[in-house]
Amino acid sequence: MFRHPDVLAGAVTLALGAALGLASFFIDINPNQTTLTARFVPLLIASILTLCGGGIIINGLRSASQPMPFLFSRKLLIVASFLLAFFLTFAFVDFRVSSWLLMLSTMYVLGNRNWRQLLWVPVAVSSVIYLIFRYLFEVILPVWT
Amino acid sequence: MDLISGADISWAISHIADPMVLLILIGGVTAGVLFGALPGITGVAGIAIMTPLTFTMNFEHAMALLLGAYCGGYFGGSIPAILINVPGTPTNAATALDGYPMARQGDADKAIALAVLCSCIGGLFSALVLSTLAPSLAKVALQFNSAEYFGLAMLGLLCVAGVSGDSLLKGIAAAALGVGLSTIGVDPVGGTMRFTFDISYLIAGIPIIPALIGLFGITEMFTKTLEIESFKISVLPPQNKFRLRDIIPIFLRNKMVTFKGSLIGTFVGVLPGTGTAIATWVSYGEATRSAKPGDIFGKGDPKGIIAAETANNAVTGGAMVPLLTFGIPGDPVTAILIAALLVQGIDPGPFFIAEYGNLFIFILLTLVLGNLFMVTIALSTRKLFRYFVKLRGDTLVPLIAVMSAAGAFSINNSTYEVMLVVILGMVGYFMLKFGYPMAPIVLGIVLGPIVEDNLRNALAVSDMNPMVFITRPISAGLIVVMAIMVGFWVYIKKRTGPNSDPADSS
Repeated sequence: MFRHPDVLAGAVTLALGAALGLASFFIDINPNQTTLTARFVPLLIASILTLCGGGIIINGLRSASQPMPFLFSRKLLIVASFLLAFFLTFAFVDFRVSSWLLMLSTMYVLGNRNWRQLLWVPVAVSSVIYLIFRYLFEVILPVWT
Repeated sequence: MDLISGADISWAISHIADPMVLLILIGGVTAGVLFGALPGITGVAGIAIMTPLTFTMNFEHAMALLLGAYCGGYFGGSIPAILINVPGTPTNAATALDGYPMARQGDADKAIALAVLCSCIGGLFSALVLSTLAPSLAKVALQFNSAEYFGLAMLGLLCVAGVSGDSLLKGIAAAALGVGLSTIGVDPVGGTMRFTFDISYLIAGIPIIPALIGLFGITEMFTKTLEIESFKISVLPPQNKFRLRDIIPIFLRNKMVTFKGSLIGTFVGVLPGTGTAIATWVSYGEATRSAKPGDIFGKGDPKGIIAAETANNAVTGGAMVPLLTFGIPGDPVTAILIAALLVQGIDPGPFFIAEYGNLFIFILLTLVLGNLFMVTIALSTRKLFRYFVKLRGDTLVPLIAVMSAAGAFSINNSTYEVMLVVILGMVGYFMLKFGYPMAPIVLGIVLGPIVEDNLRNALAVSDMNPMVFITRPISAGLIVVMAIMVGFWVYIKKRTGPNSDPADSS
């Protein structure tokens, strides 16, 4: 569909600029201001993004055809979904449990089959990080009490 | 030096001598070296992840941790470059050119010792320059008003946009996106909401630390996951015995390379938005340009390591100059430092040295001691590095995720920062894959408010007359510099064709 990655990248940049420009018109203006309004910089940024997007598209069209960058592998999608689950549930699950589970599952998915490492590394990492944050830096991480 | 009194110096010395500060500094240097030494992980990501930990610390402890990591991180990247030919960043690629061939010839220990000593010399040289240049520049900065600050911030954005990516347009778009993100929240002048979409969390804007963790830590984690299958580590042959005193003749033979590397690194560091990659490659290029018959650059010549590593760490002190005199961060690490300073209630800028002379001296001493500790730690533990760089990618990936999440949560004990990290990390990953650099986004978030506030202030005091930016000599000079830079990049682009990279060419 796109003969060069820059055509897609430029189109997204251009669309982002247009969306930002449109959203800028919904910013309220304080009538008592004696300087530039709150809309000015967002509109300026929107214009720059739109112009850059257009320029990147033109560069892409003028360049020799190139394949799209390799974005996903099966492993990356699985790890990304683990990560999303970890971050989404971060405040609700005991940090020691969630970090242990993330370490174990990610190490396994990424190809580690050494059962000794799978046993001790996740336990060690989750415990050490918890202890460092909790007692050295006095940061309260989510725990089940 | 009349900005700094004797009392400031004695305060700084007494505080740097505090055993707790020294301990944290050693911890910071060690953490920086370890983060840098992890194959594929940059010291910047390490510093971003560590920054939330400083929020509960006082100024001295926070600076000791971050500046220690700053010094150690830049050197640490040379360890995987030398031992396994995996430069974590373009900065360390120059070191790998001669460091890895040396390791293949059985001289890995010698290469690492050379790298750390050169890094230390570069770091100390730049601290010396910082101590002499910053107070003088701060006096000049006191004459600046909003027009000049607007110009300086724009120059910083333009520099980082121009030199940090594959194309100038993508660099400018990334910087614009960063500035756009900085406009989210309450407008500081009119008090109206911008892009908050009735989400209460967004009223305070996009906090810089989660943005940094997401854009550097999580983005690297995704990239590493994708590369994990192609990540192979080769085994080095048996290594030669090496005595530290063998290094001294090498330095004596290469005094000029050491000096030029330190000078180039410091000068490039002072320029806003440039950074270590340019410094090391300019220094390496200069060393090869002045090569003598018998030099074997690219095949294990110690001169290559000296040129790259002196310039590499010389950037640390140089990059602190615009931060501590103008309040303008020059690279992602100093952008992190500005955020850490603001959290401590300290506003870096033209009044910093005049108001906080003691803290300025403390920062200088921390940089000097950080470099000395780096040498001690690296030389005493250099034999362990070969085991450390073999840490598997399958362990590193979730380790970064866990530390990023814990670091982000610790900022406000809120899931907002945690979610911001993952969202920006994903956005950053896609942008990186399509050739958009991360550094301009970060600098955009930090410099955005400086650009906007000073633009509005300058226009407000001049009755909305835009000529204020041209009639003031320094502001006009900055505009001319920006025009020359853009003209130069466009010229290079035209000479080298539409697909070339202006940054590389320059």
